[in-house]
Amino acid sequence: MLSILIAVAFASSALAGDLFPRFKGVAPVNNAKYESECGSCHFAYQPGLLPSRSWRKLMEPRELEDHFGDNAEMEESERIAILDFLISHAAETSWYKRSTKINRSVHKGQTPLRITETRYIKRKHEEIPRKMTLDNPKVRSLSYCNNCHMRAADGVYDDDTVRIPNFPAWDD
Amino acid sequence: MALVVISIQCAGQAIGQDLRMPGHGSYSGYSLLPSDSIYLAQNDSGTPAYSASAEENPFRESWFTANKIHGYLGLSSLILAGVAAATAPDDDDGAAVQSNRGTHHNAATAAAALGAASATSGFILHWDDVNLENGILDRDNLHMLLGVLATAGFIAAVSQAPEESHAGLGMAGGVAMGIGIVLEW
Repeated sequence: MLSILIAVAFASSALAGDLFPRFKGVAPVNNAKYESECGSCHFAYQPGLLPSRSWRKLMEPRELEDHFGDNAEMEESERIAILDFLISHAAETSWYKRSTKINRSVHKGQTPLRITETRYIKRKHEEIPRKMTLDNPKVRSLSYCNNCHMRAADGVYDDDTVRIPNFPAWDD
Repeated sequence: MALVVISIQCAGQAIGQDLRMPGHGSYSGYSLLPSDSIYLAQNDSGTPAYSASAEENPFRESWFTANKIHGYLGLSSLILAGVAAATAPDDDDGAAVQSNRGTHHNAATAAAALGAASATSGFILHWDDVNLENGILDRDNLHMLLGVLATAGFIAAVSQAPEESHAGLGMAGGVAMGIGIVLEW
């Protein structure tokens, strides 16, 4: 019995990531330029949420002129630096579980420009009632990851860290 | 123990239901009804401001969620399998055989039981993560397969002991459990 308790205590500490770093979500953002340039207007989506071809397309100067309805043009040197960061940490380069699953879910001929268009993300959210997401005034769109995923900034997107605004009793 | 778990869960839910008004300068500790909260949010025409709420009401991850318990069970099973391997009696040493057999047997039995509990909870909690369309090399699929094989190995090892072959089954189960856990780490 004592050995079981010790084992559980060790397991809980390990699962908390105190003992070993975890690779279950996506790699957190570790680039100050990307966080300041892109994260100042919207959640700084981790590069591991899309394949590199999507980031290349999104970061084209013409695309940035109309970045989902906003002008997101930037200095060429900054654009290149951010693009390098995004490509070098894109979904297909990552060992993190959700990045690998996202990458596998995107067909080779596809270049999704929205994370919410990838099959994996669609499947993970398809059972959540619309009233909790699109019709929820404090969520409005699946694009606002950090409105519900409380540890999204850390790259953690598991069920345990979901708290849907206006729906405190939400359960998976 | 059950009471402790229940009280922690209740406390966690209480934190989750705290609907204090976010970003209100003169806030002095009163609470809003859920309907008020929705009403206020509907009047908010700007971008969602839930991040402000999150700053004032920081998220605290619970230690006792179904997912975490599944993880504790699996890891504990692996650790106890390691204990069983480390305390395997050496037949050359008669005294050690007597003292180790109890620990070895108990740890192995507990590893098998916890492995079975982990596999069962995994099926219940994560059945929708297993999708054979993604191929057997999909990490979730492999995790499930290895978890089941590991548990089967542990159970077979315990049931076949003290036959010599039981050690191989136990070790194979331990390797399968270890890889299965690493895949989901």
